Order: sequence, then structure tokens, then C-alpha cells
Amino acid sequence: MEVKNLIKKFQTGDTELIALKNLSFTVPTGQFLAITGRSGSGKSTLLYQMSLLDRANEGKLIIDDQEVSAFTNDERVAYRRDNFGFVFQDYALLPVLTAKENVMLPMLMQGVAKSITREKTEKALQRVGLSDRFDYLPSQLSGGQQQRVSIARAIAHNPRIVFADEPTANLDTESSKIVLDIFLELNKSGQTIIMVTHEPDYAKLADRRIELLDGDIVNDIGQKKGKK
Amino acid sequence: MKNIQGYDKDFSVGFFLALRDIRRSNPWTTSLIITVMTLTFFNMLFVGGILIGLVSGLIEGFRQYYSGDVFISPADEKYTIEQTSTIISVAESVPTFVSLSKRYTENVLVESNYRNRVRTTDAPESVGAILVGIDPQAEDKISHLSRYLVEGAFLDKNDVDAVVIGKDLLAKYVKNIQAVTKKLHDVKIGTKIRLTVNGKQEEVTVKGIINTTNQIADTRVYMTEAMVRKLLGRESLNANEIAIDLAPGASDEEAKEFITANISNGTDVKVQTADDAVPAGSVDVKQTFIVLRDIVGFIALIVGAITIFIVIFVNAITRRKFIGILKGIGISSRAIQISYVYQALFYAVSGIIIGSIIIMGMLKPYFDIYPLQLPIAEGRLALSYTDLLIRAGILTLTAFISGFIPAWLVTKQNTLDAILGR
Repeated sequence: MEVKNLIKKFQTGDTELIALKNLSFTVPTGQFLAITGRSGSGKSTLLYQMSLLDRANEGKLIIDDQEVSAFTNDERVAYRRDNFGFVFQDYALLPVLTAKENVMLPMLMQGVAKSITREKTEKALQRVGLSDRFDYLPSQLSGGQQQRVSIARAIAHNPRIVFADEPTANLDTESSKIVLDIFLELNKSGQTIIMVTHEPDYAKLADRRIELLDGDIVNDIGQKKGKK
Repeated sequence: MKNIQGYDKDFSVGFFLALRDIRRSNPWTTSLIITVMTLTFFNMLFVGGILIGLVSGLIEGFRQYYSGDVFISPADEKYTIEQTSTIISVAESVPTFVSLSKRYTENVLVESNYRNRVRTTDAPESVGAILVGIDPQAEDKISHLSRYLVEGAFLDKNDVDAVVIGKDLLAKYVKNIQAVTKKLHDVKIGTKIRLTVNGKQEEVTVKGIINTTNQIADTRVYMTEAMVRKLLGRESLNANEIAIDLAPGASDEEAKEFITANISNGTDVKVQTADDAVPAGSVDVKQTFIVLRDIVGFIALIVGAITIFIVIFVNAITRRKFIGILKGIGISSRAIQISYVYQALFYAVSGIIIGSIIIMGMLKPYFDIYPLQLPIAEGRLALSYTDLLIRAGILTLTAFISGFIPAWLVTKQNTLDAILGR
């Protein structure tokens, strides 16, 4: 993924706030990128632009020579479904769906055959260590388990990039460690991961760290690292 | 082809979400919503059904106890039916003919207690009515009056001074206090009453009292044809009314056309189907009741639509964040909207099914056996399966729209704003 001259502004009354100031960088396939920075530095805003959840005011996002930032809303939805996986801070599981059903959902929308969906779902849940929690509702799972279901949902359909927005913010140390281990394991098998975190220790586990301050990149450490 | 496949996925994912949402929602809430939908559907059918049933009962009573399927009466400004015997022959040749009754009618003053007055100057109790001369057997085949005797017995062709009297002429059968003052008191089987017709008086005995709930039939005094003709001093055989019954399912219109076409030119009579002959007031009441039914049904529909709208809107708005997440992970807005529409349809269809079972399976058969006994007619539930299907269709369509609009409003919001709760 190539980020080119990305600018994001917010208008609050008469005041214009520049959240991202002309950012440019490239994320090679297979890289585990951590975006860090203090609260309000623009790290989540950057993730939302990169994951096509929001539109930048200026700049481009290019994946495989395709300017994905120019996509229409419907095209963005379809692109996210087929190419991205999401892990949110508050797990974002649907409360009326079991762990298995939550994981199945993106694949059902892709039109993947039911038998394959079931197989991939079970494999993903096994991979995050929840093979005994298939039919549990989110309310019956701990926070750490819910976040693992969320990771299983993000990876089950083999996305090109997994975006994680503060995935450990609501978890205790033990659960955070499990989640990060899963990310490292995934990354080891070639999965591109872009994770926002405010925990420097967790960011250090990534191949590369981009540190933001007031919408600008102040540090880009380990940018050459990647699996490919 | 791509589009069709896309819709397929939207429908299947929408169904997947809706099914689980319904299955895992609070059963009490679901039951409450379905109860509201059942009551909505019930209201759309029942109130109107009873109103129309009442007027239909009135009109059907008119056919059953008075006009038959085809009714022949004198032409305007004529007093009797010209060439009655010829017309009867024509009527009997109608292919679907079953029976007929010819009647001789005259206005009559009916008096009671004229023998018990303390002073000769005291006015006797009296009431105006229609005296009807009939062939008891022929009349009974048409109007089955003998089935509606509440006291005594029906006329026999050999009865000389006996009458059968309609209950609306008698105080003890009339509940309205004001109306009672204009009725005959203390008249029972065996009571002598006096008939005054065209200045002639005849004392007769009450043999039977009928209650058909039809106002025309219940305000008449029935006597044998021979006695009436004698009392009226009529030599002509021309009658005042001919009521004709046809075979079940036969067309009234065809029979009317047959009779009209076959009576000789210059015979001036009025040939009407029961629907033509029914008093204009009843038709107006029916039209009014149809309007009332539609208004009540419309109000019920609005209440149902608002209920579904609120349920879906509250459901969608409280899950705005989840809707944002669904869109975020690639679930199309259409699939989300479809899931809410499915839920709205589930509530509506459940209400329709339960409402239909209650109305068509329980209330309609009940009112057919035990109709509401009202002074003007018997009230049944006038409902057909066509009525049911039309209203079910309207409610389903309303549910579709009421489910879609709130879902559409929520899904069209910015995905990121929904996820972040902005």
C-alpha cells in the first residue's frame, strides 16, 4: 500500500484542524506496522483513511497500482469486504450472533460456499484458540475471548491487510499478550498488519513503527523490515 | 448477472441477520410486538366486518323475509300488479324458478283493548300497519315465517278470523320506551284485535307472533288471502306484491330479464332483483358503514405502521454502531436494510396469521351460529377470504415500508460516524 500526500482536515465551527499533514509512506506486503503516538496525534485518523473507512481531503492511497481512495462508497464497502480485515478496540461483535456466526458473516457476504465458509470459520477460531467456544454469544465470552473472535473474523477470509485499532486497549495484560502473540503468529505466516496502539512496548513488537505527533510523522523506525 | 448474484447475497445475508435477531431477541418484546400486529389486523377486519355484517343482515333479511330473489310490484302510480295471473305464469317458467308468493296488501289500523275501555270516550290503543293477505303455504316457502314464531302458531289456509302479527307492533317486544307508547299493549295469543280497512272493521284473533328482526316483515299483520280479499271487497285477482325464489346460485338479474322480456307489451309492472328493491336507506347505511370500516381500518393500519416504524427505528438507532461495523467489515447497506425489512415482515405476518386464525377460525364461525341479536337485524361477521387477503396484503406492504424507511435512514449515515458514535 502506498500512501501519497495524505491530508485530512476537520472543520470545527470556524476553526480548521489539520489532522494529517501531507503524509507519504509505503507499506510492503507482509509488514507488521504499528502506528503510535499520543492521544490526538492522528494515528486512528490515519488508520481510517488507510482502511477506506473515511475519505481524506487530499492525497491518494494506491494498492497494486489501483487508486483505491478514488472508489465510490459502494466500491469501498466491497473492497473492504474482499481485501481487509478489521479488529476494533471494543471488539465490535454483533451481540445476537455466536462466535462462529460473527466470523462467518464477511464470507457469507462474499458469497463463499457455505461448506467452505464453515471450514474457514472453524480454522480461524481454532487458530485464535477458541475451538471450544464456537456457539457462544459475545455476552458469554470474556473481553480477551471476544477480541480473539474479532481477530478470527478479520482473518477468516484471508484478507490482504488486517487493520487493528487499539486492539489491546480494553484488555488486561494477559489477554493483551495473547492477542499480540496471535498478531505476531499471523504476521509470521505473511499477513500484513497495520495496528494503531498507544503502548510503546506493544509497538516495539511490530516490524516497523510510525510515530505521529500533531498529524505529522516524527519517527519511522524499521521501515525496511518486512516479510517480502 | 452480477447484479442478480449481488442481490442474492444481500437477501441471504439479510435473512441470516434477521433470523438470528428475532431468535435471540427478548421473547416478551417479540410477543408484545406480535400482539400489537395481531390487534392491528384484528381491528382492520373485525370492526368493519361487524358493521358490514349488520347491514348485510338487514339487506339479506329484506330478501329472505320480504322480497325473495326477484320482487314484482305495481308500476308507479298503479295500485295493483296488472295481469297478475299472466305474470305468475311467466315467473313460473323462469328456468331457475323455485317458488313464489303473491300478496294482497292494504294499510290497516290495528286496535287492541277497545273492549276494556272504562269510558266510551277513551281512545283504544291503536297502531298503523300493513295488512297482508297470503297463501300461508306459498308464503312460508318464500319467507319461512313459521320458523320465526316467538309465540303461537302460523296461519293455516282454512283460518277465518286469525292473524299472525309482527312483533314490532307489540309493546312487549319493543325496548325503546318512547316507541312503546305507540304500540299495542297486552296483546298475546288469543287476544282479540280489531282491524279497520277502508272504513270496514273486522275483529280477529291473534294466532301467532313473529320476530324475523326484519323491520318490514315485523310491522305487518298476516291473514289468509281469502279473508283479506273479502275484507277489502276486492274482486280483481291482481295482487300487490309477488316475491319469487330462485334456485341457489341462480342469477337474479337473468331471472329479472327473463320475466321482463316475456311479459306482454303494455303490461306495466316493476320487476326488481332483491338488490334493486332494497330500500335506498339500507344501501346508504351500507355505504356509510363501508366508509366507516375503511376509516377504522385505516386508523388501525396507521397505528400498526407507526408501531413497526418505532420498533425498527429504535432497534436500528440503538444498533447504529453495529450497523456501522457491519458496513465497515463489508456488509452492504442493502443487506442490512433487508434484514430489518425481514424482521418487520415477520412481525406483520405473525400478526396476520394469528389474527386470521382468531377471526376466521373462531369468531366468524361463532357469529354465524350465534349472531348478534339487534332490533333491526342479525349481526354476523361479514368477511370473505378475499377481504382477508386484501387486508393482509395492505398490512404486509405497510410493514415493508415501515421496516425499510428507518433501516434506510440509519444505514445511509456515514460508516465511520456510526462506528465512533459521532
